[in-house]
Amino acid sequence: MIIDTEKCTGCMKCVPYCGFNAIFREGDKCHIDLDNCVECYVCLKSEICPENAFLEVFLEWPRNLRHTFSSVHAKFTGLGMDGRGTAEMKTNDVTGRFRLGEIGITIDVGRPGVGTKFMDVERIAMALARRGVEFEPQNPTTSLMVDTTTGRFREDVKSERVLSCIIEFKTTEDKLLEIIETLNEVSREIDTVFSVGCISRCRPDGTVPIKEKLDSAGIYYRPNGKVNVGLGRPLAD
Amino acid sequence: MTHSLHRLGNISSLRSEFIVLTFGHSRRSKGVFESKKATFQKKNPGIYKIAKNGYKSLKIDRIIKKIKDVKNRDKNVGPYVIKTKGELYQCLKKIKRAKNGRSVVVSGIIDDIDDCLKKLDLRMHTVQYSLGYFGKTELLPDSNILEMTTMCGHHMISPELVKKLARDIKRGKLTSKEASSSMEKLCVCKIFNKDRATDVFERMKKSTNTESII
Repeated sequence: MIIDTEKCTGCMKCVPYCGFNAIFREGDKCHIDLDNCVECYVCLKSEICPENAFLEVFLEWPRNLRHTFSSVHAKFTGLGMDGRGTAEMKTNDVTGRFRLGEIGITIDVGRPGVGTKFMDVERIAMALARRGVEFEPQNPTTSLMVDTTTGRFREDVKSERVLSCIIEFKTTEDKLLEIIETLNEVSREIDTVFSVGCISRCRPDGTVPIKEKLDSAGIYYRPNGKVNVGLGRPLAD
Repeated sequence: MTHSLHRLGNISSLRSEFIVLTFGHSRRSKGVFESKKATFQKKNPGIYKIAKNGYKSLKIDRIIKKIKDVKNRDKNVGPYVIKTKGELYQCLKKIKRAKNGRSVVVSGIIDDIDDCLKKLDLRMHTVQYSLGYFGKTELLPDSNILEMTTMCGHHMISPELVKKLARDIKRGKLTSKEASSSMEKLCVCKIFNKDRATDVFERMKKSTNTESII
């Protein structure tokens, strides 16, 4: 995204719309700090500019990753997949992706609203890979790794900044506490934040196996979360 | 996607919203399902839907009508914001009665959702917990602002915008409701809860701590 300085009047109405403080005024015109900008296009889509001065420009690889991971309107065409992650637990009643004894972990790096460079995502992924985690192959973040067994990312993407991206993987319940311990350790080495989600298939009586584990280990979890209510009909095969 | 998972707020505030999303499935074979899903996702990345007016808090009967509509059989219907536990119960009761095999996901206070399900003789199938924020949390804005920004699951609402609107409200330029409406427009999937946002703005207006909004 750039600002057409011929059109910009420097009114600064757009400045608060940017979540990354990337819009600044120099002289009597506004400009975009391209290093901070995550190409989310909120400035453009908000239609706040009375002069229509925001200009969408063609983004080359790897800068186009910023837009793909940060904009609601983007399609993940470059890597052959859409969205920022999979359907996770939302269709688990039909797909049976997570079974009893298994857990899913989602690590939304850069969320909420801080943003992240892929070099920090790599730090988290490498720490998890050392624990033997197998990253979800149908996830755009995984597709940026050169080696999914080490969690190492492509060199050319590491400096790209995005609003957030999701590291996803499935593991077994008995590894939950060591995964959380790893996340606590690596959280001290990064320059951003991440939000963690933990998925658990419920027992037939509706109780949640990992709730007991989290409670007994004194690990915090929010009272609000997501529930698949189990009305989907499992696929015949 | 995790966009309604990490909504921040106190219990009473979070009790005033349940986000319902339903997924349609092809009823043939797993292979067909996966390929249909891939095609659908190619055309409609994720669950993103562009709605132009207002956040989606439809009357339950309209939600059910959409769910039952054969045209929507393989599509996602929602997300919708439902404001009370009683309405959630009614909504789930009607979806259950429709028996169309959709996956239904509800975000909200887990115990409240569980209560509704038990009354309907249903049980939670899969749960996703939020374990909160890790890392350099000092980079995060204060909790009032975070409560607003996390209402938009794709984070299209900037903390600076919330601060500016809160200042405008304090100066009498805007009402809390007008400020919430202006933010609502930025949330593409329409799960930004305007009513809750109005309450947060009112709370910020009454607060003597102006530091967080200046």
